[in-house]
Amino acid sequence: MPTADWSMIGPVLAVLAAALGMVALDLFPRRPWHRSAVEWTAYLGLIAAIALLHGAGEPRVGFGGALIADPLSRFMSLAILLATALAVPASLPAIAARGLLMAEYLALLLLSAAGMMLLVMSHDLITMFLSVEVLSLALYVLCGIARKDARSNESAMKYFVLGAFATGFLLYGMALVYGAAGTVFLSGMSDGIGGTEGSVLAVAGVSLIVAGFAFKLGAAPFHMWVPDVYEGAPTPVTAFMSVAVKAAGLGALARLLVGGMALQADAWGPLAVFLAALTMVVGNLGALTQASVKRMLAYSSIAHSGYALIGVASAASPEATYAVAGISAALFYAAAYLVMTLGAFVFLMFAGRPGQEAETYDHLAGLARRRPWAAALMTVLMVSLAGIPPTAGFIGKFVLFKAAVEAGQVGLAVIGVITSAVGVYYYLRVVVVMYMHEPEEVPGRKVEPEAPPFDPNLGWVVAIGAALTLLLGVYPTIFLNFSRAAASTLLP
Amino acid sequence: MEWAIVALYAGAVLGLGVAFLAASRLLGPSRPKPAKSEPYECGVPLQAESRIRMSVHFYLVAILFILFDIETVFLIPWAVLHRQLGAAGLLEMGIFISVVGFGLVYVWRRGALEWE
Repeated sequence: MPTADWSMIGPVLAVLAAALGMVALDLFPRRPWHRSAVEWTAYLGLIAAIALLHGAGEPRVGFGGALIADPLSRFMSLAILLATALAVPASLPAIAARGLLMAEYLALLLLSAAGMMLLVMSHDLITMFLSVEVLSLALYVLCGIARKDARSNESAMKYFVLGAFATGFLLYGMALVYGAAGTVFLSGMSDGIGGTEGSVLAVAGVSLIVAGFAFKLGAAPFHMWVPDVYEGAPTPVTAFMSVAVKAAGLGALARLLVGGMALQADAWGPLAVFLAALTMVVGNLGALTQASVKRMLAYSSIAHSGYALIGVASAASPEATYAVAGISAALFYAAAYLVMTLGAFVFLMFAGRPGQEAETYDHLAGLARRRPWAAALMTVLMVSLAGIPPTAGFIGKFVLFKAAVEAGQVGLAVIGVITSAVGVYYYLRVVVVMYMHEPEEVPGRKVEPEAPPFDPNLGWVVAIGAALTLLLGVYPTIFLNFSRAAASTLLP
Repeated sequence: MEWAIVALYAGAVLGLGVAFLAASRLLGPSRPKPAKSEPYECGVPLQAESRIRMSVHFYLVAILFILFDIETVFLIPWAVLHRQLGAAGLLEMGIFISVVGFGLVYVWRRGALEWE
C-alpha cells in the first residue's frame, strides 16, 4: 500500500473540513449566532489552509505518484484560496438578499476550491480528471443556486450541458494519451509517447485535452457559454468562477503540457497559438458592443484567457529559458487577472443597492458624484484591465508580450497589443460614464438623490482587489520571482 | 480448431434454450389472456404516453439511491484486501464511511427522505 503523505494535502483537508463543518452546523436548531458561526467556519478553514500551505516543506510527489506539491501548486493554491477568501464576504449580501441557503452555498464554494487545489496538484491524468469534476460539479450547483431566478437556472443548465460535453473531450483525450504513452503519470509521459511523427493517437489525444481545457478556460472557439453563464449566475459566484477556475485550469494545463508533454510541443504549440490569437480577437470584439457591464466583463474574461494563453504558446519553444519565461508570465498574469476581475465583478454589487445590482452602463452614470470612493476604486480596476501602468494588468501584459517576442511568437504579441488597444475603449467607457455622465432616468429604477445604503463588506473586497492590483503593478518583483520559481520547477 | 469449442458452446446454449421453451410449451398448461400474452416489462404497462406526470419525489429518491449505492460499492475492494491494508486501511475506510454517513444524516435532517 502506498504511504499517504497527509501533510501534502493539508490545505485541501482544511478546506474540506470547513465545508463539512458548515453543513453540519446547519443541521442543528437555529440559534441567533448561527449565521456568524457558519461564516467564521469558512474563514477559519481558509486561514488554516493558507497556514498549512505556507508550512508545506520541500517539493515532493506523493500518494503513489498521484499528487505533487511544488512551487507551482503552492502559487496557484494561494491564488485560489485568496479568491475564495474574497468570495465569501462578497457572497453574504447576495445570500441575504436572495434568501439563499447560506451553509450550502459557502460549503459548495469551498468544495469547489478544494477541487481546484487538487487540480493544480494533480500529477496523473486520473486525478486531474477527477479534480476537474469536483470543481465543476460544485460550480454547476452554485450557478443555479438562486432557484427561483430564471436566469440563474438558465446559467446552471447551459454550464452543465456544455460542461459535460467538454468533459467528454477531456476524458477521451486522456484515454488516447494513455494509449499512446502507456502511463497515466505525468513523469515519464513525454518519453512514453515519444515523437509525434506519425502518431495519430498522441496528436488526437493532446488536441482533445487542449480542447477540454480551452472550454474550462473559456477560450475561443469554446467560449460560447461564458457570457450567458457569467451573466445569469449570482454575481459573487461569477466573480469566483471567472477567476479561480481560470487560475486552476491554467496551472493544470501548464503542468500537463510543459511538464508532461514537453516532447510533443510541436503538437500542442500551434494549437495554443491558434487558441490565443482567436480568443484575444473574439473576446475583445465581443466586449465592445455590450450594454450590460456584467456581460462586458464576461467577454473581457474571455479576452484575458487569450492573453494568458500567449504564455502557454510561448512555452512550446524548445529553449528551456523561453519556456520558463512563457509559463512564468502566464502564471503572473493569472494572479493579476484574479485580483482585478474579482474586484470588478464585486464592484457591480457594491455600486448598486442591496438586492439590486448595477448592471448596465446607465446604472453607473454619475456614480463618481454619489460615491466618489467606489468610483475611484473601479477606475483603478478598469485601468488595470485595460493594461495601463502603474497597475498589475500592465506588468502582466508586459511580461507576456516580452516572453512571446523572445520565444519567436511576434505575431501573437502584435495581436495582443492591437486587441489591448481595442480593450481600452470599453474599459475606459465605464470610467467616462461614472465621471462624466449625468444620471439618467432609467425605467424601473429611481435616481438616488444621495448615496444609497450599501454593504461595507463589499467595499472592503473591492478595495482589497484594487490595492492588490496596485501592489502587483508597483512592486511586481516578489510575485514575478515566485511565478518564475513555480515555472522553472515545472520543466523535467 | 479452437473455434470448434466456441461452436460447441453456442450450440449447447441454443439447444438448451430451445429445449426449455419446448418443454414449457409441451408440458405446461396454456390458458392465454391478453395481459399474459404481453412481453414482461417489470409489471409496468408496455406502451403508454411518454409525457406523464410523475411525482418529483421519485427523482430525489432515485438520485439518493444512486449516490449511496455507488459509494457503498467502494467498500468491496477494501473488503477483498482488508487483511493486506491493515489498520491504515481500516482508518481510511472509517473516514470514508463517516463522510458517507454524514451525507445520510444530512439528507435525513433536511427532510429529503420524507415522502410528503
